[in-house]
Amino acid sequence: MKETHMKDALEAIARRGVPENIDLWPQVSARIEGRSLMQTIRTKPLLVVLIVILTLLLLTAAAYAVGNMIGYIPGIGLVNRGAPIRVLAEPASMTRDGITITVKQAVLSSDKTVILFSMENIPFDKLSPRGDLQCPQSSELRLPNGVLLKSSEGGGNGTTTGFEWRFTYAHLPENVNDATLLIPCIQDAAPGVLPENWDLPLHFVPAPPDMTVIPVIEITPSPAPAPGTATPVQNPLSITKVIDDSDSYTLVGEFNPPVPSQAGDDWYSSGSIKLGDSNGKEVIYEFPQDLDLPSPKSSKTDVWAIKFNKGFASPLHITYSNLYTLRASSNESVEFEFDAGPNPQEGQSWQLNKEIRLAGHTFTLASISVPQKNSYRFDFTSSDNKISNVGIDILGGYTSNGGGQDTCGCLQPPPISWGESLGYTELPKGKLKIVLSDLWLYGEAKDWTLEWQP
Amino acid sequence: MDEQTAIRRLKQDDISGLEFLVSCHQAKAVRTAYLITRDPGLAEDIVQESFIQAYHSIRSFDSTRPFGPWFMRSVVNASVKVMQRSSRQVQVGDQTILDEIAARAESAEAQAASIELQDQIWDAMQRLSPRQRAVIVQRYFLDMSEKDMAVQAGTAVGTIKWLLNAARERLRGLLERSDE
Repeated sequence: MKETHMKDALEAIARRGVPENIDLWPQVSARIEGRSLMQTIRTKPLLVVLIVILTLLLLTAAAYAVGNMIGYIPGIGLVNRGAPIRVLAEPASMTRDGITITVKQAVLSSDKTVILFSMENIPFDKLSPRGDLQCPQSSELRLPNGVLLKSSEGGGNGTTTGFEWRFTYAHLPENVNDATLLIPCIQDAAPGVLPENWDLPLHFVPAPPDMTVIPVIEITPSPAPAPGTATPVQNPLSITKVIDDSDSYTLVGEFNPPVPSQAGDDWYSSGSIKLGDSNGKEVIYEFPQDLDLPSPKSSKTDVWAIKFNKGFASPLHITYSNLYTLRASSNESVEFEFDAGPNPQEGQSWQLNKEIRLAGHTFTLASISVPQKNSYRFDFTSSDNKISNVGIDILGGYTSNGGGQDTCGCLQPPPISWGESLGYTELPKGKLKIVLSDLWLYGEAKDWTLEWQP
Repeated sequence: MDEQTAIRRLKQDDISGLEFLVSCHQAKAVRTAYLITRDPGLAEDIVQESFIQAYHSIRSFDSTRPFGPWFMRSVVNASVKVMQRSSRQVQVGDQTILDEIAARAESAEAQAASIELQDQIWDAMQRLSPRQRAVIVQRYFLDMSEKDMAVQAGTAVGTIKWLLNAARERLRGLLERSDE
């Protein structure tokens, strides 16, 4: 009955977001019939030039930056700074059986409440091993009127003596300046082993006037020549937000990969970022843990955020190394028979060394194995390092419930090897017809660069 | 036209077969992707891509199997992949999130189809990692069994059972309290 209600709720949410009369067929058929953007470019170059000119005219000539009402508090994240902010009056601490929980910081803005607390002197030897029943860390805020606020988001890190936690809750009404932090149990502890049901009273006061709230600068990218090019075109690599902290910068940006020249409709890109200063020295960065990344514009867009120390020789050179992976245009498939026997067992393996030629590429199916109950793993090798992976199906009414790929995702010197697995509700047995199709190949690898001046 | 006829036609390069499959499965597929990505435009992109992939790989599809589960698997996987590439993972305990969703659902029982409550559940969904969101969508929206979910997630059935049982227990407790 309860599951029905959850299902009803999800269906209602989905219905609100996606109408019943949605019609994808015009777009799907257009792409299949080749009326893609690339087709347009090839057949109507003048039209494309006109569109590009109009787009450039519509965009402003230079990037503009605006400060807005969003601020950044280190360790807390992005907050609305359009209304008064409150903070913890003083740290709150409690010790039981040698374990100390300390609420170190709290920030109350008009949009959320963020609380940072630590757990110290944790007897790690008393925590449950992975797989056993463990306390999943959670916390609640109890308001004076008894209302409980559950955490909406949270995360933590282990330390040498315990854990550090950051939890977010709904915003507190302006007239509520007290709350109690409720922590049911210690992370990873089995029920009853370590002290439970912690209550820590908290009192909040207006933030001091000198509290650091860093303005977040939002940038609208505009056409500008990418280094090494003369024509102002939209660089696929762009910065959208800048946070200038006292000793570090945080950049948020995106990469919108151009349609690869050799692509059909099926491709994706992947990339990594490298930073260098004006002397060519690498600038080390980290991924900030207290930022929520914006949603990507499209399924091809990669949104990124990096944080790095000041003190580098500017301008900063940001390099995004992009690698395309494309579906081979051929619709070929290769079918062969494989005898798994009447009762294949977990741990069993068959060395096949079967040479496969598909879509003009050659590779070897080295072995098939049963790494765990109800799944097959296929291991391949090849001297052709353009191959990324291949689609696998077992015919005969077997419905695979999913699988995984153990591939490099990068161009590496040959010979290469990769593995793919398929899971089943019941493992297919006996003589099996296996079909290999959908070969995916690595395409062009290209570095895109952007200069950024603080 | 029925589904098997559509698949047979598609295998013969008759695109009307795909048109039939799109008309049958598009709404459910986009809603599934939407529940995982929270972005209707992105969900449409993902499902378009998935239909095109299905078009290219239909020759190796076994016509005796139902098209829906095969296709939804690719939609879920593509949605999770897109979100994993773009979003920061929330590391809060699974039970916290499930408890919250369960609590919202229990409230839903009392308050029927309240829009406000749906918003709260939607907000709770936002706090799940893409993979966690996919598990909830698979179980409660796509009606997948725990066993099938475990295989698809590459994890033990016990892990899925534990996660979902935690939510059920929470629901039961809340219901009992409300009955007192």
